[in-house]
Amino acid sequence: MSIEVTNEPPPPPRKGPRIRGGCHVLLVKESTGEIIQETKTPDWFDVNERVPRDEPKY
Amino acid sequence: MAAGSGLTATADTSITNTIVGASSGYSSPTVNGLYCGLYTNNMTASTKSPTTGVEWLVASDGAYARQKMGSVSPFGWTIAAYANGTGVVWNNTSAVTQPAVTLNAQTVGSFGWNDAAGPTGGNVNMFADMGTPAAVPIGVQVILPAATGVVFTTY
Repeated sequence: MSIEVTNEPPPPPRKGPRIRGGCHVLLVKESTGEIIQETKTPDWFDVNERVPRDEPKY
Repeated sequence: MAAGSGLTATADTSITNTIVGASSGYSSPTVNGLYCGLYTNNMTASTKSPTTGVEWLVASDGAYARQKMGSVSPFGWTIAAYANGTGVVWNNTSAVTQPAVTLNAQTVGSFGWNDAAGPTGGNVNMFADMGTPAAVPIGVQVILPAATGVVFTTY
């Protein structure tokens, strides 16, 4: 077993149940169907990857 | 202020009251009675408030309408089983399309899910901020694509 030595502070304790989420947004010109902007909001993640997220920074 | 997402501050309080059996608890939406609204600003991680977000108005965008996004297909949510290390992941089942903007160009800074059809009033249960708000010119639709448009995790 190895022990990692670091100056980093320990992670904060996990706080109770939370809901976090985000959006995948398309802005589409109706007349042409052209996507003029695609945005993934800060807390969005690919639902297929099921990636655990970092603790939110409050 | 930093972008945020999840339950609004008001929902945090009412749900807490509910689970401890206190008064002023959470009032569930009616079946299928949840609607996606658009907001000009981020609701922010600090206030988590639709008042900070400022919802779009029909007076400014004549086509604006909260979009049904409740519990019943095809407007509902796909809710996965709890997974260790992840939690419960839930996402929109179908695409959510806001009618193309009319009258005045808008800015979208966050999304909020209301328990009333609106276009005003009701309570916002949860929200997701854009981070950097996006300009929405006249003639442009705001679309959340099917399955990937909005993803929440309860954990």
